[in-house]
Amino acid sequence: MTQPEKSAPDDQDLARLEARCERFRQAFNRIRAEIERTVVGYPDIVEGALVALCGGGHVLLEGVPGLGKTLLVKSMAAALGLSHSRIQCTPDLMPADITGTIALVEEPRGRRDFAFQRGPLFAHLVHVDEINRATQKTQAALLEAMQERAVTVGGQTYPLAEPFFVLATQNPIEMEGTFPLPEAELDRFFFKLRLEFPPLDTLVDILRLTTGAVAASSEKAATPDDLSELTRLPREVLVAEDVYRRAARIVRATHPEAHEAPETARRSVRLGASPRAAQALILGGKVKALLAGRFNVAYADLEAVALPALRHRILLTLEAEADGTDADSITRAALDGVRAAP
Amino acid sequence: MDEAKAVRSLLTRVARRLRLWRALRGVLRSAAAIAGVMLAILLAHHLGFGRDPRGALLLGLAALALVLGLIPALRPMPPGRAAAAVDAACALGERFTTAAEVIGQPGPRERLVVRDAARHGLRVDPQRIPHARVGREGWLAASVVAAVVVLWLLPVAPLAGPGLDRGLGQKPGGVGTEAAPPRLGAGTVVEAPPAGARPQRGLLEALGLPPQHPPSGDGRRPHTASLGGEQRGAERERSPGGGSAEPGVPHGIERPRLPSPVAGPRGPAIPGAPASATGSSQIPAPGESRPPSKPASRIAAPEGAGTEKPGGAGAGSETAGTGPTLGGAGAGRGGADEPSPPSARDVAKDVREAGRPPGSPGGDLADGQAAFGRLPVPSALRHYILRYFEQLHSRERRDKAS
Repeated sequence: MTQPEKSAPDDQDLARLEARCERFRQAFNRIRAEIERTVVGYPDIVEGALVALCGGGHVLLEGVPGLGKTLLVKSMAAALGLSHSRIQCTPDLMPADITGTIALVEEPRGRRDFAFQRGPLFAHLVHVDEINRATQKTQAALLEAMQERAVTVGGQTYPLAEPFFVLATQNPIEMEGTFPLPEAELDRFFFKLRLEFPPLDTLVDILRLTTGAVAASSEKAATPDDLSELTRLPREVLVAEDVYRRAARIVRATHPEAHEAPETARRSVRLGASPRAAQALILGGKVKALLAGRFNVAYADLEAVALPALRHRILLTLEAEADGTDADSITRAALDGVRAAP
Repeated sequence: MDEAKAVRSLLTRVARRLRLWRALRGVLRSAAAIAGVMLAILLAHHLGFGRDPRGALLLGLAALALVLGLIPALRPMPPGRAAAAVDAACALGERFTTAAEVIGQPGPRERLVVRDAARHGLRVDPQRIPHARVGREGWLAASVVAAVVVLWLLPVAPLAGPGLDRGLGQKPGGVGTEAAPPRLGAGTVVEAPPAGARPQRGLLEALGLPPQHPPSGDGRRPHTASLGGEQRGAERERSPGGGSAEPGVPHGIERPRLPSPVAGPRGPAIPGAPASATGSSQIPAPGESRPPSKPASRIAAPEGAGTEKPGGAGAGSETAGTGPTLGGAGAGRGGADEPSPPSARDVAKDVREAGRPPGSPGGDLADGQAAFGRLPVPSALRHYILRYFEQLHSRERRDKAS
C-alpha cells in the first residue's frame, strides 16, 4: 500500500512535467506561426531567432537591406507581447544614447533633481540596426549590456528587462565607414543568422502581403507564463555525457591545433570557436529537443544549431577568405569529422 | 518502474549481442593475425625451409587465436555502449543513451526520459543490433585464413630434409626454364629426414609404379653427388654420355635421351627445352665442329654416333657411343668393366620401360611424365619430383654404404 501512495506524487510530477513540455511546444509553434504571418519566406530565421530567445541569447542578423529585419523584430515583439525599441547606429552614437543618462529633471512639485533617464536598451526586444556603424565605444557598451543584462550609469546599476533580447543587424556588403565587431564581441551573440535573398515564390508572397490595402500584422500569441516557460524549461532538459562530449568535440574540431580538426580547419582557421559556442550548442540543442518532443538532447540537435552557433566564432585566415572559404564549410567539415570519428 | 525494467532488459539483451559480436570480431582478428604467422610458416615449409609445422603447433596457434579473441568478450559491456548502439541503430535521438545514465534516479525529469526511452524501445528489435557487416578488414582476415587452409591442404614437398634445404640456397639452374631445383654440391651428404617427421609417401608408389629397392651388389658407380669435383670430372671424361653434368640439374637425375639416328627415332625430346637444359656435354665428339650459334641444334640433329640402345641400357656405350647423349639411364653402368648384377633400380626401370609408350622420353623424369599422362607438370611439382629422385639415390647410396 505504501508504494502506490508514494508513487502518486511522482506520477503527478511526471504528468506536470509532460504538460509543461507540451505547453512549451504549443507556445513556440503558436508564436512562430504568428510571426510567419508577416515575415514570409524565412522559417529558419524565425525559428532560429526564437530558439536564441528561448536559450537566453541574442542574434546577429546579417543581410542586405530590405529583407525584413526590422519587420522581424516588430513581429516578434507583437507576437510575444513584449516591448521593443530600435537603435539606429551611426558613428556619432554615444553609449549614453543607448544606455541612458542622468539628466536634470523637474518634479511635479517644481523641485529639480538629477534622475536617470532610461535609454532604448530598457526594452524586452531591442533592434540594433547596422551595429557595425556604431563606434567601438558604443558597441562595447551595448555588448556589455547584452552580457550583463544590466547597465551601470553614474555608479548605479540598473537591471534590464526580462526577457531581454537583442537582434542586431549588419550589412555584409557596404563596409565603408563601418567598425567591424571585434571577435570578443561577436562571441556574445548566441546565433548569427543569415538572410539570403528570397526565391521567386517567396518574393511574390512578400509583394502580395505588403502591397495590399490592409497590411498584415502579428498579434499577441503568448502569455507571460508562456514566455517564462519558454526561457526556463530548456534549462531543465537532460543531456547525456556523450552529448556533452560531442558538443565539446565539435567546438574543438574548429581549432586548427586540435587533433579533432579536419584538414580544412587546419588549413583555413585562424581562431576556433570559444566555449561560449559549446554553450550555445547545448542550449540551442535543448530547445530543439523540446520541439522534437524529447526531454534529452540528441546529436542531431547539436548539428541543427551548429551552423548559426559557430559561423561567427570561427575566424579564417586571409588566404582562406581569399579562396572563398567560409565558416560554414569549416563547420560542416568539423561536423563530418566528429560524426565519423568513433 | 516498469519502464526502467523494460529499458534495462533491452539494454541487457543488446549488450549480450554486442559482446557476442565483439567476440566474433576478436576471434576473426586474432585468427587473421595468427593465420598470418601460420601462413609464413607453411610457406617456408613448402619452399623447403624448416620442419613440418603441422600438428600440435598449428593447433596450439589456433587455440591461441580463439582465446585471444574471446578475451574481449569477457569484459563487461557498460550500459552506455549498448544504449548508444540502440540509439545509433534505430535513430532514437540518444534517448537510450540518456536513459542509461539517469535510470534509477529519482525525479520527474529522469523518469520522463526513461519512460520515453521505454516507449520507443517497444519498436526496437535486439536481433538487428548490431548491424553485422563484413568490411574490408573482415575480408582480408578471411582471405588470410583461407590461404592458410589451402596451404594446409596442399601436399608438401616429398622430401624436405635438412640437406636438401641447404641445397635450395644454391644458384638455380635449369631443368626446364622456370624451375630452380636444388643442386647438391660435390661431397654433399644427403641426410635422412629427421626422426619424427611425417612419413613421406613415395612418388612412385603414388603413381602406382614399383618401389625402388636397395642395391643388391657391388660394382656400381657411386653417385656423382657424393664425389669430389676432380673425381666427378674423371667420371665425366670416362663416361661422356653418363650422368648429368650440366649445371642446375641434380646429379643422378637422368635426362630424356635424344633420339639416335642409329637406333632410330625414339620420339621427340623434351619439348621446348632450351639448350642449357638439354644437359649436353661440353665435350664435343671427336671430329665434331659444333656451331656455337646453334647449341640447341644438337638436340634436333645430334651428330656423332648415338649408339645408345633403345632400351637405354647403354651397354657398351663407353666404346661406341661418344656422342653427346643426354644422360642415358644406363650411364651408371656404362663405366663398369664387368657386368654387375642388376640393381633394383635397374629392374624397376626395365619394368617402367616396358610399359612406356613408343616415342616417349626415357629416364626417370620421363617416367614421371608418362605416369602423369603427359599432363603439363608445374615447375614446382617438377622441382619436387627431381628432389625426390635425388633423395632416392642418396638413400640407395647410404644403404649401400651401410
